Amino acid sequence: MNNVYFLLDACTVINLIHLEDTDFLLRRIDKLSIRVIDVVYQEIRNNVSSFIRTKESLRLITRKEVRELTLETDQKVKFFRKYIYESSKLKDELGGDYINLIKSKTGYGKRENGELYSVALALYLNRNQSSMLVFYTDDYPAKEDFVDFFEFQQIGQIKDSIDLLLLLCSSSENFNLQQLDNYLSALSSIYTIEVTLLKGELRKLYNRKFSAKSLKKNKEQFEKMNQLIQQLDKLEFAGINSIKEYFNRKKKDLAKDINRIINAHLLPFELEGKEDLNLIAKIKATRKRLESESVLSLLDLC
Amino acid sequence: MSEINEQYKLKTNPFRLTPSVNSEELIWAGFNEIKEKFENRIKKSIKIPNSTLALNWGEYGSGKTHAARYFSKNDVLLGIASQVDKPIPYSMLMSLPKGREPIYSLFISVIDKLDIKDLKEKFKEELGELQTFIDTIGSNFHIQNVLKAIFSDDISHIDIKNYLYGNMSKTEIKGLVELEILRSLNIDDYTKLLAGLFSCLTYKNKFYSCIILWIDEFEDIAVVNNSNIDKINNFLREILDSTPNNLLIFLNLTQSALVTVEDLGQYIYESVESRIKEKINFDLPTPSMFKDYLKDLLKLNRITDADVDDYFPFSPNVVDALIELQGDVSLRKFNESLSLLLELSDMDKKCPIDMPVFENYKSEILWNKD
Repeated sequence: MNNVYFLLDACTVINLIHLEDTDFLLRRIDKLSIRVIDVVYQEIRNNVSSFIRTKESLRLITRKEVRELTLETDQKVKFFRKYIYESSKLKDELGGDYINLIKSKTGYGKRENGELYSVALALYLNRNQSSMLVFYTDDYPAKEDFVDFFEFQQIGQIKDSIDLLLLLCSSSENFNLQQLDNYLSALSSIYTIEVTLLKGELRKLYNRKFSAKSLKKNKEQFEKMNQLIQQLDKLEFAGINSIKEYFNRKKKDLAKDINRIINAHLLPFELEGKEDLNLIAKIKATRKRLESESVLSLLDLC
Repeated sequence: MSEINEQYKLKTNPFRLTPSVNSEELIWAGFNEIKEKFENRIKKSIKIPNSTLALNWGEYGSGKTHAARYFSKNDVLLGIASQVDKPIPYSMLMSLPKGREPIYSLFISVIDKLDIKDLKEKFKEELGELQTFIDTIGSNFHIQNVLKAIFSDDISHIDIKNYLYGNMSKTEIKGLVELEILRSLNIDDYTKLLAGLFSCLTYKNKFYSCIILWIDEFEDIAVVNNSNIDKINNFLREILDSTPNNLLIFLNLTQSALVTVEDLGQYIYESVESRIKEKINFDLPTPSMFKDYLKDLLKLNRITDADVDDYFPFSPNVVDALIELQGDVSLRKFNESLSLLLELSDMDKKCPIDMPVFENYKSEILWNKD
């Protein structure tokens, strides 16, 4: 293997952008061979400000902060432009049907998106340049979709932002454990705030709509809503995407309001992983481990 | 609830899922032990000149926000204060901010609730003395001058509020030169200014005996980042240190997988934790607590002159059966079941609610029991 490429998914880039007010992390990832497929870059542009909009609508940040954050965020998004890999190049090299081939080989049934294109690029770079690929995504359901293909095809590994932060800490000077803990805390905060907001909004809706009459009419929907609230309260995310899909199919009555709330807080649905492994639990475990175990630097080896 | 008045002898369906925001509808039923704890805590803070932190904790729906709203009611506070022959406490309720600048948000919440026009009027006769007192608060002339401007007639209540909100332009601030206010407020000023304001409001206990600050949703400390955890801790420590007298802060903590009362040490520093003088536990109610609550709640919502049994429209054995079937549940869940039972029986015009009626609706009432 000649090289290691680091492919970033939209959620990972958006998290990196929102983790700090400075450009400390960006300066450090610049030392890695980063690639971002253009489809992912477009997703970053489309979604990066939803974090700011959510906070603004809930008055978590002031108007002045919104302006500052928007400017800061735009600059950071532009920083990733230099890593873009045009998907048209893949099609030029491998033909227009390449993405369909990847879809069929991975058994991917969802719409074409950044993760699918990233996997397509990963396979191409691996085979064409004899490179190892590390694909960073914080979208755990997406990770589940591709992890088996990655492993079987020996493309490399699929990791998340926690792993990226650990890598940056272990390979960068002046990146101490307290800073690492601060970034992990900020990463946890991005997700737990969204879980808390989603749970809070659903509880408000529940309390507003609950009555004997509405329960008789929408019993199943109340049951599903209650289940979702309970799972969010317990930080158990297994199956929450099927609840989301259930409401998406219903569309009427209570489901209309629930869909509006869910669509304003989609981040918690990226937390559903295998056997209740999720980003929040992993952050908690990593922070706990860092209390007694250090990330070794070269100096520590002497 | 078509016939709730005549049939059920109730003014309204009393079983609420969330506490009312309407002060008149906020009543206290049962749970006398918890009520007494709050009354005593507030009395102590009125009588003894010190500043205290108290932690209220329990499950979602256990009554913490209700307690905050109930004990922020004017008539309730007046009642407590009159027992110790002191003026009413100044009470404010706010949620823990989750944004980038939590202390700025807390400051804005206090300013939102501050009736400066009324304060200027109230303190008119004491102004000279108050200004001398302000000169003794800390050593920051800027903060002292802003405090004086809040209470004096030299600036209108609208202008000073605009200044406090940070809405004044640089040119407008230049117009405050006679008040010796030469710059806008910055992040380091907010805690000091709040501490000074609280000290002024309780000056000589003339109008207010103490300040009560309720911080609801304190569990959100577990979802903010390290930097904001730091800011919140520093705020609590500083505000208690800088307001040495007459400040009572209640922190309401709802337990969840994110944070329990045992985990709290991970989020609040030793220097703050050591200042918690009282912990009020909203534990899941026992059957007898539920029954006392229900009797009290029904009594408080009875239409006048109704001569009925304590649990009417429920038969006592229905109440026992419901409590037993539900097991350990929050007060909110208990209310939800009783509300359903009342509504369902009302729809079918079945009153009173005896065992056959209850059996008929049992599965619907316990619809989401695990």
